[in-house]
Amino acid sequence: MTSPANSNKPVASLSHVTLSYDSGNQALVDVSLSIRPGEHVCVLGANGSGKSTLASVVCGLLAPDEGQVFLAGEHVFDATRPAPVDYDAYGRARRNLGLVFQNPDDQIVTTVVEEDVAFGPENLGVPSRQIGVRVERELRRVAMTDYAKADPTRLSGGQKQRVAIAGALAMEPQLIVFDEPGSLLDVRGRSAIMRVMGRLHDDGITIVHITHFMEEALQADRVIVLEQGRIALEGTPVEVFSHTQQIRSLGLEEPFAARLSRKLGLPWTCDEDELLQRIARGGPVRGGRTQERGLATPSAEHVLEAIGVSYSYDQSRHALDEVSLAVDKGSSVAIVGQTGSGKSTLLRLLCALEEPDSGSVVVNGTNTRRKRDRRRLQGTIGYVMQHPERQLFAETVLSDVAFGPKNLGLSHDEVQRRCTHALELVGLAGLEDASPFELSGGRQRLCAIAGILAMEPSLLILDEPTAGLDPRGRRELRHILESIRERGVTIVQVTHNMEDAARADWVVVLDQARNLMEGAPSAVFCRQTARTLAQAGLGLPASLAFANRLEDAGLPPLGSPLTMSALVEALTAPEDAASRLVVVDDAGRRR
Amino acid sequence: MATKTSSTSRHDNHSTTAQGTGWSTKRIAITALFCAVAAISTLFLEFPILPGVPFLKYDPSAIVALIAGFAFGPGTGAVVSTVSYLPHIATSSGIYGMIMAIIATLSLVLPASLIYRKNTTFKGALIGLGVGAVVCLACCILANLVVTPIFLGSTVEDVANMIVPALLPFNVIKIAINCIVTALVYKPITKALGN
Amino acid sequence: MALRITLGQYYAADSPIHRMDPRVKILGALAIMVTVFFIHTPWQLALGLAFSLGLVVVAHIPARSVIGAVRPVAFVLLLLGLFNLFTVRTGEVLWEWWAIVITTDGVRAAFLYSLRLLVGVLAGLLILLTTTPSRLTDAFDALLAPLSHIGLPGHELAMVFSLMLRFVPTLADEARAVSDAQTARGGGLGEGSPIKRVRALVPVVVALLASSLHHAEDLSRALDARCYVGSQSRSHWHPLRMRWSDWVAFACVAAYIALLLALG
Ligand SMILES: Nc1ncnc2c1ncn2[C@@H]1O[C@H](COP(=O)(O)OP(=O)(O)OP(=O)(O)O)[C@@H](O)[C@H]1O
Ligand SMILES: Nc1ncnc2c1ncn2[C@@H]1O[C@H](COP(=O)(O)OP(=O)(O)OP(=O)(O)O)[C@@H](O)[C@H]1O
Ligand SMILES: [Mg+2]
Ligand SMILES: [Mg+2]
Repeated sequence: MTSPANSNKPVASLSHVTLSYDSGNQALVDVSLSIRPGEHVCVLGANGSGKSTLASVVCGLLAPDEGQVFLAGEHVFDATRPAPVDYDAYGRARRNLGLVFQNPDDQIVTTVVEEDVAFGPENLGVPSRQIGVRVERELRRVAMTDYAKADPTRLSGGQKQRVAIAGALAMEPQLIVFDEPGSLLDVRGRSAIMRVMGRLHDDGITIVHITHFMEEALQADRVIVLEQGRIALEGTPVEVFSHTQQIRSLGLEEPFAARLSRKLGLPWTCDEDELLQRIARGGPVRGGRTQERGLATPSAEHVLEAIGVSYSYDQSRHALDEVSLAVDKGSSVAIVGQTGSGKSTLLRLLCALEEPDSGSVVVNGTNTRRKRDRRRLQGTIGYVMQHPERQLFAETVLSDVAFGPKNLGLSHDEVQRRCTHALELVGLAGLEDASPFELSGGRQRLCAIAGILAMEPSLLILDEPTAGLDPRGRRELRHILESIRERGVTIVQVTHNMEDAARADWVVVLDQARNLMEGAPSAVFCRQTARTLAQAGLGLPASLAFANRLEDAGLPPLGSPLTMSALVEALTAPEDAASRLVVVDDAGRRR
Repeated sequence: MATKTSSTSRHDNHSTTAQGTGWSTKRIAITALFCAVAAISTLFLEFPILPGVPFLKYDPSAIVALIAGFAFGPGTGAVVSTVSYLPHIATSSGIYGMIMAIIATLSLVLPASLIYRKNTTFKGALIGLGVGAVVCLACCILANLVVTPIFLGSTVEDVANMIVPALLPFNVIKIAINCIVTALVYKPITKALGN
Repeated sequence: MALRITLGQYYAADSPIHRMDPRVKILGALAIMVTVFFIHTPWQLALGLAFSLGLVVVAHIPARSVIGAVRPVAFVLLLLGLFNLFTVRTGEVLWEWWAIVITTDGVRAAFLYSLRLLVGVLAGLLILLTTTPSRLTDAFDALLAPLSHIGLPGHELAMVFSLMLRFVPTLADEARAVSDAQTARGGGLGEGSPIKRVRALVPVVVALLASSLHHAEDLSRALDARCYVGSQSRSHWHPLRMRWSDWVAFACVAAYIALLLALG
């Protein structure tokens, strides 16, 4: 796809690059890689596989230990030279390389959007008049012109991320590295980033895109998969994803279409359109109904109830406006909504951390209006905040996990028992004496969650627990939550992942501080609600979206398959049940 | 390791920018974030030391400055002790509160981190805190004698009369909390800094 | 609880004060703040208040914003007033009861010394209300630049200051989230005896510092990626330039100070 007009000299080229951090971690091992101008390269890999390190090397921010590096036509690093690092060359090369990474907050350096976009050009010494031109142009390119004078801290995550992209673009780089730009964003924010990326690719800018979302990798010209600092797989998306076994063992997963085609026994493909055509042309489809999932037993013992709750941080605007919600004992509830819709605020009220301005929150039969009651309730509700790894503080994993149980005033033995149990549950047994700060990112999160599980709450409230994890981490966390639930713990979680939401018993959709919808997943996610959800910045689970496309292509109604196994079931003929493809589904196990 | 940068400070390794006279971006970033944490402490984490005396507030900003001094040297500690109070010029404490806070924090952080730099062990930290506490107490009282009269328009004797009943206990409590919490926080923080 | 803190509480408007060179603004405000301590007579106080309130009017700041910002100060001023009222024993005795003596000098000191602080507070407030943080940083950078000549990190300090302003709201949200999380684990900052509160500081402070290190790691990556290498080679989108109106402003402040001293 490289336009032939471009010279074919690589924008970045690494050969036999090795890099270890002071802690002895080998983050990159013998990596050789060359990126052509105009190419769109996608980098995949589990947490800690060295993707961000590679990004920094490609952007000229980290000098490796071994090997050679050419960036933007400069020979910046050569381990065989007496002075391996050529600082001046690095300085020149960096002017042509841009970086956008995960957390938009950390990349914005000033308090006015347009000033932030101007920051890069100012550093390059661009004359004042031209800076103005660039700022305007780039803000237009990311569709943020209306926010030029806004305060970035008041923007949504997706908007912040677009400001960060504009900031990188204003330096007119040849190559931009995107390091998981969408992992903290909602559905709408993520698709906006993908659109911007597509436009940049069309403009001939070289793109290196690191992601944990396999669908996004399909748009790339080339995919590179890292494993513990080494390049494990490399090739076009189709080539790479066809290594099904290896992809799974690397902690990744196949794209949706690939999984579906395999389960249907169709020729393997990872192109959704192709699969769609093939099925529409006469796959083994009989049409069908998915059996309705049994709704949560209407025992109607609410452990948690919010009635007409309003809350605002300042007079100007409601963060919550007459929101209601009821959670049955032992059920699992998912709360979805775009950024800023008030999800985290709702959780804070449900956890009795704050009282609502009006309306009432009732937890286990106790109204949270009185401070004393709130204090008492706080011990019984497990609250896992957004990025729970940020709450770690103690010297050892064990003492961090023990913090909560100790505060409950339990005996030493009981504290010990609970900690051991919680650590086993999350799979961190044996790491009791390690420092929580020395764990990897994914394990830090599990450690923080263990700290809450050790309090043995009957109600667990989680705020986006899977954000930023790789597919394997997401899967593991899902299993942990599932096993906790089997013990009768009620689970309420906020999520940006529609697949996760579809697995809950009950889904609550918030939009702009209000209840938009609620109901069983099959009621919330269906053909009729697709538009409403899209307007609220949300989407449908992939299986359902695909089923809808199949119906549009002329297939008989397929019901509303929310999970892949439901879709497969709907697609395969019910009569020959014996020959029906039944594949053990990692994700959509039905109960 | 193949790369050797001229500086061996813990702010930098694998760097691709020449170590000039200026600070590295890493040092700027760390200092700025410590300043922000200290500034937040003064605005958000403060609470009255004695129940019923709402205006004698304690805030943990000095702890943040102490940690900065221990971890990144007296220079960084001094910057955190100063810059983080600048926004206070426009809050209720005004220029007076700002000056007093800077004096109190600097006089604690500088001696403590200078001593710790010579002896980077937990014991060194404790000695540093001890010396810092004494210097700080002296400076606070001296500053009150010099600055407060100008500010309040009262006489030096008036202020001197308040030393034993008010200034001394308040400052002793404050310094004690700072030192104790810093000692408690020291070990986990060194782990967090480790990677 | 004041949860979302903004230090740069900029009030957008178009006024002579908004347009003024931020360097002049900072130096002027500092001069006004320092000369507050030369106010010893009611006439001086009247002049000071008139001048600073005049500036507020010229800056088109609505009274609401000013009152909102001054309200927290009022409590401190009141305390200060009471302190002077009861401790000053010189002058004629107006009222006496048990150990409480109120004298004419006491009343005078109470009013004079608390109200004169208002002049300084207004001056500081004006800077924050009329200057965007980035202009403030530019001014800081320019004013601190001479420090670089004597080996102190002037530019760096300005950058640190600006990044601090930028990160205070972000970290404040995070501080709240962390303290919430610890509250839910029974160890929050909330209320309780002072000892309990001090103990509760440990988790929050450590967590906040650890996470600010992560932010710093990323931030330094962002600064590098955007080619920030100190200020030597930087250009400015809106370079600071002194115009005649800035010199007029300078003259105004100078005249005010001269008059203030003359009245003393
Ligand atoms: N600053 C650092 N100091 C020491 N070790 C580090 C540092 N940064 C990363 N590492 C280690 O290097 C390895 C690769 O890290 P890297 O951040 O590149 O992984 P990643 O693939 O980006 O992971 P993620 O998906 O979680 O972002 C990990 O083992 C990590 O613990
Ligand atoms: N501490 C605060 N002070 C003032 N406003 C706040 C504060 N926290 C959140 N808000 C505002 O309240 C609204 C709801 O915020 P909330 O954090 O609950 O949203 P959310 O749905 O959790 O978003 P996200 O998906 O980004 O986490 C937003 O408009 C936000 O800007
Ligand atoms: Mg990464
Ligand atoms: Mg949230």
